Amino acid sequence: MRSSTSMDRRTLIKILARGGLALSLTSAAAEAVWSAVAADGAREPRILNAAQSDMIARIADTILPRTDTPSATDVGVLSWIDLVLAEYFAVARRSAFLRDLTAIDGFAREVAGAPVAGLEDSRLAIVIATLDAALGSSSGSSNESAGGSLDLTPAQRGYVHLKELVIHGYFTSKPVQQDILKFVIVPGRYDADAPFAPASLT
Amino acid sequence: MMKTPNEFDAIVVGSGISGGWAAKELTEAGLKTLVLEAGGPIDPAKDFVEHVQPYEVPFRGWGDRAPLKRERPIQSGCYACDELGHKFFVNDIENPYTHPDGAPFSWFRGRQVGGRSIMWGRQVYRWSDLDFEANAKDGHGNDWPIRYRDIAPWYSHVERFIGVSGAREGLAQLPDGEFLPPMPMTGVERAARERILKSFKSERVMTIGRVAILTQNHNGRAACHYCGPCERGCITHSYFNSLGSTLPAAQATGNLTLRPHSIAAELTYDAKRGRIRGVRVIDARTLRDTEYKARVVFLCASAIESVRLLLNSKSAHFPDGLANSSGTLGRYVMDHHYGSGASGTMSGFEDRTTFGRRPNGIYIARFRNVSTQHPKFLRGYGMQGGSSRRDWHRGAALPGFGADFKRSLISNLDPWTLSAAGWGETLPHADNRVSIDPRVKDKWGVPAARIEVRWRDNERAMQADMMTAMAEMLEAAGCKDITLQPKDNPPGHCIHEMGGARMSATPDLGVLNQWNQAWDVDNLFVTDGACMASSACQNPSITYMALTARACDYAVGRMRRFEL
Repeated sequence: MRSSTSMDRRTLIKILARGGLALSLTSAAAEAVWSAVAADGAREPRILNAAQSDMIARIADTILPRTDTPSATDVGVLSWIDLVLAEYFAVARRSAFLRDLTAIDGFAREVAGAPVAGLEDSRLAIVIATLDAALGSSSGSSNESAGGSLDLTPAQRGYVHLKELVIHGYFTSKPVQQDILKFVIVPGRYDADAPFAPASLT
Repeated sequence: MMKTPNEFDAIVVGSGISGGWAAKELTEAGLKTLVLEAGGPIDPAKDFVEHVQPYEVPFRGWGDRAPLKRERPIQSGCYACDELGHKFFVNDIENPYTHPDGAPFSWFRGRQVGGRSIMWGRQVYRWSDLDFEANAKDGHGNDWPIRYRDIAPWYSHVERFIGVSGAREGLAQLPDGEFLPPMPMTGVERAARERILKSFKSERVMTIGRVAILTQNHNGRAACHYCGPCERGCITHSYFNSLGSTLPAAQATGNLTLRPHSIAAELTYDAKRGRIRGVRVIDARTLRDTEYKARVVFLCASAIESVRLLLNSKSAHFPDGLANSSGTLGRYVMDHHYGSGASGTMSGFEDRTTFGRRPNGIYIARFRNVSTQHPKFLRGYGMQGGSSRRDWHRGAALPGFGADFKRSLISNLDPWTLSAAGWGETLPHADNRVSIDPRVKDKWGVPAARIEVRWRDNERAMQADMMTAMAEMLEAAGCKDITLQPKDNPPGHCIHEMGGARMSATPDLGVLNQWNQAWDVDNLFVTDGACMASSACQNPSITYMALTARACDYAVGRMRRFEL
């Protein structure tokens, strides 16, 4: 019986053989992101230690990087995740989530030679691509599901849950709701047949 | 003779959908009316939260899990009991009830002025004679003492006041009402409607939901502004609730006394006169007991609360609960079983979307057992659903990351999805019942309800058919990726609890006569869901409203003739 980890490693090797993934952040942008992380972390975390914060920030901004719109940490996702861990998650679920975060680091060490915070962007992208592949075969998760799909490894499970937090935190943030999505609180009318074209924002 | 401050012409227990209507009709007829509400007052300017955005609350709409789990472990099972709307649901610890092991019942409750009309689903469908004759035809339950012709004028009376938007379809099993202009269907829904009509030879009709939401200004209330989450309140009162419609109308007469924080603990019975004397009330804040007296009492506290109150009102004359000479009090309790259905995607509309958030969906009128008999189950179901394109919400379950992924979530939408699920009729069974659990009392010392309701084979068979029938319709509509969606919601989950003090043609078969008047006690009326002798498959609230208005008219007439 093959372990999921060995399958992930094979996936990783294939990706590496293809020359890796395109970087989603320029070095200048990455630097700016780190500044944003520092700003985001201005509120003292209640649950996450520095290493965990760094790791989540790196992953969050790889999932939703800064482009001509803000990155995940630019809009405070890191501190929101800390709040969720402190007050929304039950103790058991929080412990499980933090264990799975550790597993993500372990997975990164195993396949890329360093923990998430120590990886260059290109190698981090490869690690995340491997973990993200789990979503192709998973039904995903909900905010109430502690465990996710049974066939996920701890690292995959941690990533799936983290991605959900990142996306929810990002898209429900005030800057994104107001300035990016331009959410209209009181539309005043209903048009059942409005024209649609993908927007130009990135 | 001068009345004392605690004496009224009428007392109405409950201020929600039914209680608001009783208050309006009785006060407008000139009766000095006391409305007792167990919960506190609501200030729409402060308490309605429909425009609060996720970033304005800590958990971005997910809910404050710890207090929700601690104080509302049952209520939080309702979609509307979330981070913003939980205030409209009771504290489960203060308001306990019990059920047998292995037979869960979700009792979602709201105690505040306006009751559950604050966060109700707003779907309103007339019943037809297919429904009123069902018990008599297949022998389950007892025959209704009324038919459609008896209630039809009262449906109109209610619709004209509350404002119901909908489309006329000319269906015998789903009579048209007096509608405001319908909300529009999406292109996907319009296409599906036409294709389904054609494939099923007009037997299956998809229409826009008939909903108590204004599509134009009406009776001093503003048209809907399409913000979306009606269940959190509406500052413009664009959807019907008693707080913004019937109670202000009652207030305007000068005949209304509204008393919040008033828990009706017992109906007091005058054995010599064979009448209700009044209501013993516990002040929820001071715990002080007060008896309020009236010539007539209307119970509108919600089906299970009204039954509980009657069961708790024992006397030497009624040792098994007030007005229970038939022995049927608490029995034949029903809810709609709902949620099983199917979904699919539809192409051809990629260049279309919607603007505004329509607080309404589509409705597929009952088509089973209308003209032919289904081999596996009696009665039928309607289906409710809609079409949509998912936005960023799809991101968590979607593979991808990085700039392109983000761009897609911001600027693109999923393909159109069309889905619907069934709302099914439940057969009335004597052993689906509410009783009093002598071991458990609420915070105010009132003995709690014990609820024992189970789905049976008929409901299970119908649920299976909901899925396959919807899948057939999606296929006929041209959908792809069709997925069956089974649901096993426990009884109560639909929040359409009915029965327990059913109407009947004779006193030995039920608690209430054809006027919602207790067979045993002339000056007692029960006009909420407790009165229902069957459940039909349509959302029931408008039927409660129509029956309430009709019963008030009857009671007022008898009072004017000094017969009550």
